[in-house]
Amino acid sequence: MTTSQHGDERAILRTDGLTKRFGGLTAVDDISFRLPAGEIRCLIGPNGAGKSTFLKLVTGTHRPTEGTVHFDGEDITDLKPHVRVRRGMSLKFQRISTYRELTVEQNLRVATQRIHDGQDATRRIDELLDLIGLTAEREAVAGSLAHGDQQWLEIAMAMATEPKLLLLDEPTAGMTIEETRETGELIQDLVREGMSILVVEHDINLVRQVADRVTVLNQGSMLMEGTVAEVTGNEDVKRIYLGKQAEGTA
Amino acid sequence: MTDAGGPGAIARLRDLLEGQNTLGNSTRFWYGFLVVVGFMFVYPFLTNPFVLKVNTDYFVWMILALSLAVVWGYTGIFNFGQTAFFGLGAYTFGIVGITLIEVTGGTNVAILAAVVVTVLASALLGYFMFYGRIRGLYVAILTLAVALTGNLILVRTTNTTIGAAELGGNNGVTGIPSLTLGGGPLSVPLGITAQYYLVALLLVATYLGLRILLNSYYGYVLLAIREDEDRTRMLGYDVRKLKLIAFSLTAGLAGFAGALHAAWGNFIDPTVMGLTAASVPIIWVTVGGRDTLIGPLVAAYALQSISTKLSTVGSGYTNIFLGAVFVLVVLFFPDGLIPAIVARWRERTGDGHDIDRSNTTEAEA
Repeated sequence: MTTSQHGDERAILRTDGLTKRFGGLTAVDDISFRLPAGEIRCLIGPNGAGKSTFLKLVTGTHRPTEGTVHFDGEDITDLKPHVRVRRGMSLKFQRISTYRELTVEQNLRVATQRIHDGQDATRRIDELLDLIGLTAEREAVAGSLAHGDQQWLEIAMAMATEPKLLLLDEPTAGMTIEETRETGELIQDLVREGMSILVVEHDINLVRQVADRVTVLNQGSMLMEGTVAEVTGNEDVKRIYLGKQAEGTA
Repeated sequence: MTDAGGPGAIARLRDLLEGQNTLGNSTRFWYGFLVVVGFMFVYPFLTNPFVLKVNTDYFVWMILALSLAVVWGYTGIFNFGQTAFFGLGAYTFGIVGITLIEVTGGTNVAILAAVVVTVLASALLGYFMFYGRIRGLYVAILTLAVALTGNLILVRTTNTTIGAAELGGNNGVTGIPSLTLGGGPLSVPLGITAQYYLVALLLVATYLGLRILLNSYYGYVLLAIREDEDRTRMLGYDVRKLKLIAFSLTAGLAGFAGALHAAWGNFIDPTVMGLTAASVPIIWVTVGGRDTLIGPLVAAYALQSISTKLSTVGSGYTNIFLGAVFVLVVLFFPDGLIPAIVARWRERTGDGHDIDRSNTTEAEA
């Protein structure tokens, strides 16, 4: 089985036969993927498995060679990235992409002002600052923040657009164990508020903490999909990716 | 909240003008601003017409400096050819002004034509650049090439006439009408003092208008585009369209300044699109502090004043001086002099920031 069908459930994100070739290289190969609304899905796979390219096809940064992307029931394959965002999709980039020379407040203002204005925006910014614990750093320049705080700031910016689907590309890279755990709690809170979340993640601890289901990519194709237990118990997955970490678990 | 004019109106105005995106948000700043503006308006009583005339042109250059600060400093589009649009505005004003002055009696149409033509020309160039995914330094190279090409074309217009205007090649266009006030047969050409007041008023209005813009929704978007286009796109903004708009409108502002310059001197020639002319606004904006408005204003005024004095000493000194100042500032104050001074000031006074945030959060009515 390479795909799992959830035909009856409402899929917030669906790809059919999604393929991206760069010259002779097939980075994403015929991926048919479904994310039911309200789920936290982790997307894992070794380097070069096609995770980032897959995300870029979902956000519209890349156009697929073949296949389609549906978001919330609508075919968005031909929509530009900013239009997809306006439909209710948001991304936290893999590399930290806060506005380094702007203050924390300016960063959040850019993210919120499309939805809220005036006092509403200020109130929303206050809430977000409180959520990520950066109220005291409101006027600090984003580039001066600690690494983990910058990650959180960008997650807050992605959330500020009030998306239906939040895409997080390695949100805990460079975070301490404690920060990673807190990020996991934040992700779980967001789902309780009604978001669906797709996380590309290397940290198996976070995957265990948050994932409803896990999708494993390998060499551009979908290797398997299942619960954390199913995936970590799978011999193929252990072999290609989880080997070391899986041995370390009780 | 009560809407009864007076202090309420001033508070609302300050709310529009102030914000994190511009320097000078304290009451102290606005008192200083009023003193400077007041001095500008009594200046004609304190000096002679020659000095007044020279200062009028400085004000025009300051408008050009503001246009470059917004497109480059705030939006991150390194337009090295802003003088191409300044020159295009000047030539358009000259051509339309000379041709139509007998018909319309005034220069209103010529001003309008200068702005419209520069906005359209820059929109065309901008469309190919931004939708052709040209970014960063390539924008600088391309815009500079456009200015230099403009210069080459204009130099070769010795026997070319458009409308009633002779382009005159290297000799330029002469006999360009001065600014007029009013319309049609009631148009009145402005004398030196009246022109000074009009341009001063336009400068102050441009500065305040840009402050309102930069502290608004669009100001934040421009800064965001400068900092990270991909991040901004993924927050739902149409980055290419917004860059095109910012590029065209600031070019239009430069074209407007060019029209004022042509009207001021009754003359324009191709050097306005040359390499030296293209570099000078870059120097003002860099020296003053490119992501401020007040910095480029101060630097444009100061550097132009000094340049004028030096040019009476000898022809080469101005460029040597500007080059030296530019290199020193880039080496020692890469963010510009005004931001450096403000940072030092805040350090000394222990003032974290100059925004009076005396809890403006009000309950919803």
